[in-house]
Amino acid sequence: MRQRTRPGVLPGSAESLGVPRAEIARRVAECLGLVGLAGFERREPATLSGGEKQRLAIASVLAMRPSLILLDEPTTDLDPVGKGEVHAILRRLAADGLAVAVIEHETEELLDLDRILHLDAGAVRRDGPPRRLLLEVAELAAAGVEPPVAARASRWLGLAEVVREERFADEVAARGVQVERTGVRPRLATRGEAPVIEVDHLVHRYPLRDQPAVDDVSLAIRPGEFVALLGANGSGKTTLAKHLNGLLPPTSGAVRVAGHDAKKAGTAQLARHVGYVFQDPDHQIFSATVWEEMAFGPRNLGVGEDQLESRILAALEVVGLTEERDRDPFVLTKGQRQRLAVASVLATAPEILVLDEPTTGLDYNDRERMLALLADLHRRGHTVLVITHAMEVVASHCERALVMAGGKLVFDGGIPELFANDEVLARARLRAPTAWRLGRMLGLETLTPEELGAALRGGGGGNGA
Amino acid sequence: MKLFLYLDRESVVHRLHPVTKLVALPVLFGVAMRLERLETLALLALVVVVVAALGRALDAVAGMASLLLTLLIATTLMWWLFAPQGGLLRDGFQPAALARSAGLGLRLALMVASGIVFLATTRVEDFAHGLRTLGLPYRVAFALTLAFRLVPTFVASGRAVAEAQRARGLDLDHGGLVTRMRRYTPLVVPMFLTSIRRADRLAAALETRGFGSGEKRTDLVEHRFGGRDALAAVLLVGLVAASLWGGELASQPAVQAALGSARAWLEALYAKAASRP
Amino acid sequence: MRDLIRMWSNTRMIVLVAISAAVYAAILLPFKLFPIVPGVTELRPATAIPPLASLLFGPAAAWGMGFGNLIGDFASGLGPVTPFGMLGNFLLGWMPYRLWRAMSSEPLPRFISGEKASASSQGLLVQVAEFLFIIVVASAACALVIGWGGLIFEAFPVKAVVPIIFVNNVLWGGFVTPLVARAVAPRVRAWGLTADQILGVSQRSQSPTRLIGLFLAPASALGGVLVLYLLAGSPGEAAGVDLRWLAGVPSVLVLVGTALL
Ligand SMILES: Nc1ncnc2c1ncn2[C@@H]1O[C@H](COP(=O)(O)OP(=O)(O)O)[C@@H](O)[C@H]1O
Ligand SMILES: [Mg+2]
Repeated sequence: MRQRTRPGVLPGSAESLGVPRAEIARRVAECLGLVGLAGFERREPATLSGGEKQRLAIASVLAMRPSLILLDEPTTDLDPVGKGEVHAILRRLAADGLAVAVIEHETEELLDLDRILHLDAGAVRRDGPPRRLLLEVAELAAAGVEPPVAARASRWLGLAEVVREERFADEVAARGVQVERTGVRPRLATRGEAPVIEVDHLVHRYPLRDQPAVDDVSLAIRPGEFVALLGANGSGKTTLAKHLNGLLPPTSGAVRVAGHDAKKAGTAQLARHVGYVFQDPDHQIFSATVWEEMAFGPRNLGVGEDQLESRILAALEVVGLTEERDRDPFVLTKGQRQRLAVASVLATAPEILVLDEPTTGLDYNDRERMLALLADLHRRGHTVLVITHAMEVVASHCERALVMAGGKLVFDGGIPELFANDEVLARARLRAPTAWRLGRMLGLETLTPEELGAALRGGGGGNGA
Repeated sequence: MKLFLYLDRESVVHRLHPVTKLVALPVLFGVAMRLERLETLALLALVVVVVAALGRALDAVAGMASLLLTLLIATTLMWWLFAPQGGLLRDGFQPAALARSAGLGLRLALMVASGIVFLATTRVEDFAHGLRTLGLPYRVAFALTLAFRLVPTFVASGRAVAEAQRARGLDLDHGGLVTRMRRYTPLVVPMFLTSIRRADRLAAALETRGFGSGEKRTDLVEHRFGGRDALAAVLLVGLVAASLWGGELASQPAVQAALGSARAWLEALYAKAASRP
Repeated sequence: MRDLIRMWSNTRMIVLVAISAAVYAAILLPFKLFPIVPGVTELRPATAIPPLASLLFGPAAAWGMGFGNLIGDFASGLGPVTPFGMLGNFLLGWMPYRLWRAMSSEPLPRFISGEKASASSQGLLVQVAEFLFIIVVASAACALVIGWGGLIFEAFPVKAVVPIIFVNNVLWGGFVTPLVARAVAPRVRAWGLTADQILGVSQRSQSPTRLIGLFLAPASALGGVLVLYLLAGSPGEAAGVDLRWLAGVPSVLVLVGTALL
């Protein structure tokens, strides 16, 4: 019998190093087991989910039996629970004696590592245990690193290192901090205007798939709302969103956008009403200058050259790229390219904006800019629907959340209601943000670190940071 | 989306050594080229169907039925209408010319069908392994395999690009030919650039995984020539012999006589069956 | 010629073979759903890729386009003409690079690279004409070789298919490739990924026989395709001229001429 192991991504490495065949097959099975992919030997890599691919990549490196493994932002695209899973695997590997080094700019998952090196301008700035080092909140923020919320809370309590989450309530009590109770937050009220987006029993089934990617979803969004669309990787968020500008036709059900039947109107027509910003800006940039890139959409929609200039200038102004108008888009930073993608959609003057994971892969500063931009657009009256895995974004900006799991809409309501609903969170592989989790231990409903801080300080504790 | 024809199943044909299949395919093409008469080609078609059935690939062939039928009908018509000798337009209706044209159509469809069976039963890795056994350098086989592996990703990114540009109002369906062609620029440019951009990281990733480390490589895919390969080889040689000398053999008086009596027997059988109420 | 072999010792060139093959195949595939039915020319945007890849990646594009076409056939069915399709596309990915280097001292036409003219360079119009000439020759070579395969295996009506291939290649290569190349070339060079940068190739062909090649390759490609088109399915064929030779001889001469460049 010949070996029936799929030589996909995995064995490539060990094969090259001349490792005997039987040994390779054993290592493959073992490494897949280590990352929780046992039994996946014969799957095509292309059919794996985002989290599975990431774990496969780790396994393929493990198959070489390295003594050190180095990971460069291994969890960027993953849903909150997927992030946790990857880090759990890494911790297990480290416990087994492997040296693990992770490059990250998100700090929330790093608290349980053994050691952190903080690089700045090419040099090691700090080196130490995470719970100590991450406590230097002000210094981190100055260097463009977002400090973990638990660290800020620990500062407010005046602790010597970042508190373990399960110990938080005890620490607060031990320090005799009085918590100011603000009571239960107001619940989301439904508004009266006619919806701009109406989705009615929508089903979408991709060819050759048994499970529908969107399964009987109905919802309505009113003008001026700021809505988050949440869910695990593969839960159907993108598929749902692509119906809003007619990129995908419903298998059954109906979608109405700004008074048009989305299927009949077609994407080119809907582009006047819906601006859709895709996850990867590099999938749309093709022009030699920022200006030309901006002009593409309006020209397609027949905007005259006289109006073109003012529209482009206005859009560049909003995203803060006016200076770059004559530059080559490819020399811009990732954050700038992402904002260019938003601007090139704004130039078509849509009243509705749909953004698919606009902050994925951006560092702290770029992410804050993008968020400020979205809040600004919302204030200017745009209806905004944003797909994201960043729960802090949801907590601080959005009014309403739509949550998908397995193609179904499992939640539609206010943000505090969502965070209080453990069943929905578990089903959709979501985690409430740290500020909420910590606040809840004290019986609070705090959405943002600022609210948590205010509650602690308001009660007379801490010294603020 | 399913891009390629491979079917992940267990069968005798799947388990044949890839070299056997790589040799068998052109040999089968050669045999088909030797045959001209509709009847003998129909026999060969039977062989292909049997192999497809053994390889559990009949549905793959059926899935391509529209392509095969188009080939069959278009080729038949083309030859029947325009053939230099006996063509309908030149020489009027001649049944023999029609039969010959149908034979040519069948021959082509048959060759493509055997290609489909090959693809349905042979993984890319095995294909590359077969080529290596036949002497293709490792690096070339590797580039080919890597290209296959990248295609689904690139198809997906091509789709993403098309969606991003349509969302900005790109319209590919209206306008004159050259205008429409030029409108593909916003699709081709990002797709090309996002793909090429990976080159450096991919090359680095290969080298960190030991590509070109100079140590002797092990191949994970292992194949041994077995009994079924020997059997396939014998059958193949038989097929070639039949295509070379079958015609001659069939015209030998003894064979003629045997065929004649077989036919008589069949006719008798038929007559008996027909006479039964 | 030597570069076609030499490149295999370079990991980045090998990766470029795979990537350019995969890009080509990925654009071909969605259009494979409709097989070429004689007389129907659907838009095949993938055809803009080979000359583009050729000018940028040289030898890697030659192998890449051959492999890319093979991968395309994996989706629609391998046939006896498959090796000829590979060879035709190999030429489409190799000849523009070689021909350009035999004619010009600049790595790319200026209307593609966007660079300023230097003292020794040709005029812009000359470059445009040379570029179009290259596209026409490479397209003819590709159509000729595939037509040859079609004749040998009586696989398709050569009279119809050869012009379709030729015209398709010329239109996409002539009208779309320059637009795409203009956007793509400066970036690929900034990333250091052109064949010249990776292999350190001298820019102008130094081959002593390049003038012979410069005559032989275009003459046999254009002549061969013309003869094929005029004679296929005509009384000439009926008079017993074996077209397989009439296509085979110029095909081989194209290969020889390209090797001399
Ligand atoms: N083009 C496609 N063809 C087939 N299946 C797809 C396609 N796009 C997405 N899917 C599948 O549909 C499901 C939902 O995908 P998607 O909407 O992209 O999820 P999300 O955006 O929530 O991560 C997943 O199982 C995914 O694998
Ligand atoms: Mg998505």
